[in-house]
Amino acid sequence: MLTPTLRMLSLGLCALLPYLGCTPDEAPDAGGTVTLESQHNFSYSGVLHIPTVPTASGADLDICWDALTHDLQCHGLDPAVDIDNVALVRFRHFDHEEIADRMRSNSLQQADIDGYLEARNDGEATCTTLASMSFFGTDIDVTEEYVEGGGSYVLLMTSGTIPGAGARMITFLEPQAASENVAVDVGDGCDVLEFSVDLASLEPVEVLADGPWELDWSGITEDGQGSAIGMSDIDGVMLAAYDGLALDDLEEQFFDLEALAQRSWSLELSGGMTADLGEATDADGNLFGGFDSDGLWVLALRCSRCYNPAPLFLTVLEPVEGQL
Amino acid sequence: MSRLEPAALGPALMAMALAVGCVQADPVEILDVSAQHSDTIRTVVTVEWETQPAAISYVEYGLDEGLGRVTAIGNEPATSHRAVLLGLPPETDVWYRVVAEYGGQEVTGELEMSRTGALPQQLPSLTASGEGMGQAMLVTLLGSTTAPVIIDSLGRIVWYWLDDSGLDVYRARLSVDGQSVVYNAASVSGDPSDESQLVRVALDGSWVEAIDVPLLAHDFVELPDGTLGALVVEYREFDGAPLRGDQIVEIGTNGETTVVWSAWDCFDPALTEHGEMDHGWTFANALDYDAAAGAYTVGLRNFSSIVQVDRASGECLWGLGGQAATLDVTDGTPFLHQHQFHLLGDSLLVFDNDGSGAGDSRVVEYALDLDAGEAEQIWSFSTDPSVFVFVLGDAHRFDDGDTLVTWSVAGQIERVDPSGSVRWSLNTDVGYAFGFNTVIEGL
Repeated sequence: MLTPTLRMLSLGLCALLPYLGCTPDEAPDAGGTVTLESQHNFSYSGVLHIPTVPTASGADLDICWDALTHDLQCHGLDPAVDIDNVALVRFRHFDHEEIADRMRSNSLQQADIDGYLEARNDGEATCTTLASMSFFGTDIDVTEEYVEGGGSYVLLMTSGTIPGAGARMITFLEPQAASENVAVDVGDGCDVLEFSVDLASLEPVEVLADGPWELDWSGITEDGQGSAIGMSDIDGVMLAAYDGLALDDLEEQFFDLEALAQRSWSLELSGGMTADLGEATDADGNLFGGFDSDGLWVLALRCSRCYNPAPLFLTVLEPVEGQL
Repeated sequence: MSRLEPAALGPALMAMALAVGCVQADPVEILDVSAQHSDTIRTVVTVEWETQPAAISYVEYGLDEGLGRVTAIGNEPATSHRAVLLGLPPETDVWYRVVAEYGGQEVTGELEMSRTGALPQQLPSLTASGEGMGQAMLVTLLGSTTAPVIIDSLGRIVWYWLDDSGLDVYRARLSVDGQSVVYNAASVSGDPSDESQLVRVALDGSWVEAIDVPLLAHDFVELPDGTLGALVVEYREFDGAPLRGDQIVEIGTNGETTVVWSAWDCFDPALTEHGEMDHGWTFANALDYDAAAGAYTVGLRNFSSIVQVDRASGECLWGLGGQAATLDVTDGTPFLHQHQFHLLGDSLLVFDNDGSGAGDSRVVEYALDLDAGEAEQIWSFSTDPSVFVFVLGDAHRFDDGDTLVTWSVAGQIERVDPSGSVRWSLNTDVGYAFGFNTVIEGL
């Protein structure tokens, strides 16, 4: 699977965030600064239960995903239309458990990857073969490159073809010399990601109801998993309003935060550790105009390139009148 | 703004007075000092100021009040000045002050502070470990982003240029005049591009120039006189079909293009066919230039050979490895499908993609005895855990004996000592690879 091409793999499992604007990188006015710190952050723990499909070693495989009707976050999808790319990634030095753990902790590096193949989907098919996969037109010899003992093999189904975004399902393929199985049927993704979220223990952040809303997250040290936060990984802000919902509703349906929101606004970041919520826009391009309800308000700092779909930071905002 | 004592005399009168040696020059004024990071390269800060009268002037700067760095010092007195502060990490306070020299006196402005901006999200996070890199490097990023970047000795991106051509960038070099970065926007995966260019970007991002060079391949060099020498794909008929070979093409400072070497000058495809003819015959992938010898050194991937080419005559002077070998490897193992190399006078350091025989890539060094027509393997290094670099890869030997290894598609760079101990390493996120790498002797 090792072919002479220069476009590299990304394994991001996050859905693409809508890129709706930019933020300045200047320091905010101290008078309107909403300071975000680690005590404001939610807690998240998750485990990836990636299914394994034993197959014949050194043989071509028939790979089908017509049964993939829900992705890793248990969001519904059309397997023919929504899967744009099927990729096979080889890791030479990690077993399945290590790969899953590094995906969970967003700690995989490029050097961990030993090979990459892909097949593009035309929006109609739900099957491909291993032999038809290539790296941008360069074929492989599956009898040499897909073999028992050759490493750990991960099959990725993604929406979009942009490296770094859009993975919908992960499956381990395990070539075994004793196996004669050449059929890989990728199943439903709802059971792959097991997670637990605690929103009740975070310290909410007070914000001025009428603004300004200059966010500053330079003081955050840990992400939601308790790991050192990667500031440069933060590439988006989401603000959402949940009227009539409670924190435990969001905990239970954590990966449906956008779908559950009555109203939401987002910002694409161009770097930095500050942003102005006043520049966030909704899906129609309308600027955020203020906290207009007494419902639940949630702010998230997201990473579209991370393997783990959970935001790096998420907190509850409590609008207050007057001055802080 | 810095404001010092006003000048008492106009420039002309002052010059006359100084010429006859009858007065002490009044201090020069430093006026209207401002600093701002570039919008296109946010790690570059430009300082602008005036002096009265015209003076030689420059900026001292650094990451703390101790400063420690100095911008270029011009030769001609001027009243309007502009200096570019380089080598700065993102989102960092920068201390600076203007210095002006006039009439044999030096005047120092006030200590002031500016700040660099954030890196664009398109750039990867880099993880550095260990100590002792010591120098900056100019390397290209490939994959999720295509960009030449300068990485400082601590593993921080301190300069970048996001290329939006849709092509890949394999090599970037600091220009011989130190004012710009030159890189190749090209394609070597599949067919070469008719749209390929050599691009020159000012270090402050204020201007970009591009030279159309169709069918550019992996590498180029800038000669001491500013001439650019580049690997370019060449097609000729062979057995009734186009055969993909290579040329070295020079682009002079006047824009004139000259072919100085063709693979057909030295080799005959009828005698040097190989198992990968479908992907090209010679597949030149690395280029260097020895100004003292007036010779290019060219890596031919599909020959698994490195040859030296006389610039004036196009004659192949010697070859190591594979199809083009004129030197016998008397001890050690040959390299296979190699990429970059470093010619060290009496030895050759080679990034060997496939030659280890174990599915690992390595760096291997051969002592060369050109008179005897022999080469002998004297050193090699594979990293741990091992990586296989199926394309690109680079090796550079430092004066202290350490070696900089760029494991390109593995997104890893290491500085190793002669014993093979890794002193410093740098890794990218998943989705990013490094192209060829050039060590920078100060920035």
